[in-house]
Amino acid sequence: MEKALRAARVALAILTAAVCLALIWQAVDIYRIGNSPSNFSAPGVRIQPVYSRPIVTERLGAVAPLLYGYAGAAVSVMLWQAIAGKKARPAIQKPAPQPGSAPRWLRPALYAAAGALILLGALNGGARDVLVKAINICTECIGLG
Amino acid sequence: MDDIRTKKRIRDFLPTRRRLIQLYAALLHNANLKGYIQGEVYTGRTKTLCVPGLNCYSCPGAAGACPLGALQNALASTGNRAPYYMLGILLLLGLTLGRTICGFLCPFGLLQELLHKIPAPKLKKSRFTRALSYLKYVILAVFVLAIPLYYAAQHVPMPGFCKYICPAGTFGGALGLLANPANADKFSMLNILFTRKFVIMVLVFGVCVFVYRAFCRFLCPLGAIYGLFSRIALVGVRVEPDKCTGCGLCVGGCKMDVRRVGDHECIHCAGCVDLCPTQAISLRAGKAVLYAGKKAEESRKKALAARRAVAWALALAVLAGVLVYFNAPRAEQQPAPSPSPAPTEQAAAVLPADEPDAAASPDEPEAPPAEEPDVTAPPDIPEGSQVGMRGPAFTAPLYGGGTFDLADTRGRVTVLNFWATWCTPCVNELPYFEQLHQTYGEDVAILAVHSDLVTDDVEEYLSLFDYTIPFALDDSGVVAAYGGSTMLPQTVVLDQDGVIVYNQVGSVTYQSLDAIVSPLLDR
Repeated sequence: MEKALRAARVALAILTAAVCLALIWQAVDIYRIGNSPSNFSAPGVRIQPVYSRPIVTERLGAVAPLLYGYAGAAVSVMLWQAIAGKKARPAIQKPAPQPGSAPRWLRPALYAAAGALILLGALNGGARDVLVKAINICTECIGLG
Repeated sequence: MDDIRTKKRIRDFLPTRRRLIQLYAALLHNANLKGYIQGEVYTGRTKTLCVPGLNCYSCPGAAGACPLGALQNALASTGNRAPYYMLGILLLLGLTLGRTICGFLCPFGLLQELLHKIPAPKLKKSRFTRALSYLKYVILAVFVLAIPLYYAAQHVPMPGFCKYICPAGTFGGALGLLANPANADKFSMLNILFTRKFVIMVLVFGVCVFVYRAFCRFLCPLGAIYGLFSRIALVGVRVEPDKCTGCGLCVGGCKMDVRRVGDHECIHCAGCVDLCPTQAISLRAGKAVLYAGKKAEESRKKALAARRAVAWALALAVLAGVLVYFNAPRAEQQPAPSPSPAPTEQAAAVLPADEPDAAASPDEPEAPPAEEPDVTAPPDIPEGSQVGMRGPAFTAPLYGGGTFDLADTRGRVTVLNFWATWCTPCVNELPYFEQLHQTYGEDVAILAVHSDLVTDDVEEYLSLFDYTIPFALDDSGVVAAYGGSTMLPQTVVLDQDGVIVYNQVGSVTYQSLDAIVSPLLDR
């Protein structure tokens, strides 16, 4: 019974890894090819995909490879640890700072500040701003384009 | 013996109390279940309030605003007003719950934990992951604070984290909307931005299978903000120094990159409470003990069971009330009828040429086409918002005086742009419409219609630029008449006969506009 369970777990792990790799491959493929369907097709008109590339995209373009690199490094380290069987050493325990370590008046004072800020925000239109942004969809903000 | 094993195995598969609370919170965050069926976001007033967890407000189910998205937009509006409201909300949430929100309430945290349940080799925490955990502070500083503030100075609202990273937005907002067949037309607007965000989302999900709460630990700026309150938050795990022997079991058994119980990386999941051999750790709300471990609960089992039953009954009653509030059909939730109801695409497609008004509303049979003598379009084209239909007539008051009448533009190509000052892509693409106006002059009539939801002084905003195209306010339902809803920007192009040849939500460039307009002028 135990052996069968272990075998099933290994099989599931292999399947999971395969699915994840396939997903990542698909994502890389999409990224490589790009989204090619044209946005618009009128008789006789076919245009390139509409790209929204404000200057910030150009400047921060370097961040995306960094993120991918980080993810790749994380997975590599994980695989290395799994193969080497190395365990992380527990850090030295120190008692955590207790709430009493902060001045007693600080929390009530900050609550009062939070209340005041919310009231000011409601009066200066900040609350309405939140509502307007939340009930409308900024297509770029969610990555639709 | 076998019975005990079986019972233990079953117990292992049952959801823990924390998991039940997470599921409950995820349902409360996304109580607008109706939105998933309709493919639309909730537009009620509850969205003035921020939910505590990371939950995109463009998700069809979202009942409240995402604190991180709202903070970025508040910072982006600092040119007009100080972001008091969002600072106050975050201060309140941080002071009360701190990172307990991450451990118990965040729907994206729950999703990551469920992904981590998938059997696969797991990456244990190490110095490497501990060093990576500081990346989220960099993301907070750059994407959530610096980019919105930098662009605010240029009058461009730019939620950097939402736009370039947030996988919760891609999953809940973009994919949540695209998953509904009602939004099938939105696939045409996907571009490189979506590809990038999709890749980031897939990577985050993939890494979460191997790494416990990878996004929370390394990337989430909301967790970074709540982490700042770790020493002062009302709710959280506490260690009694007198009882602590410094054995290190709590930190060693924790999957997060904590150095000490309750520090800025601790999500207060209370997993360490049962690990402590001296019962020195407990989950507390102020002085009240919420959970002190299984051993401590043994003696008070009956009393606690009764108390928990009451708490869950109350919680379920609240949940039922919330679900009814958001999902009960209401008259005011029905979409308001537009001035000229648009026939469906299918209806237009099957409309025979010899039945000009077949797609028109049966409630308006007395409106004969002859009442519009100035219409030069062939009479067999029905009015509506779809491509191939005649654009509904309208007039709109212009900023700076005067009125725009669509009927006056017959014989010319007309470009309508629906925008708002608070919409990033909208303000970014306004120069393209100006360039189009400079290129084609009077041959192309252009009108930029601001959404009826105004957060800034639009005239003051426009005075900052040298736009020569006319701007109007949508005070008569123009956007709705052209099929617009809650998505911006939207561009509509009508040919010389007033027939719609392009009607699309999403960003455009000068090249794409020119590619649409110039063939029409060559006709």
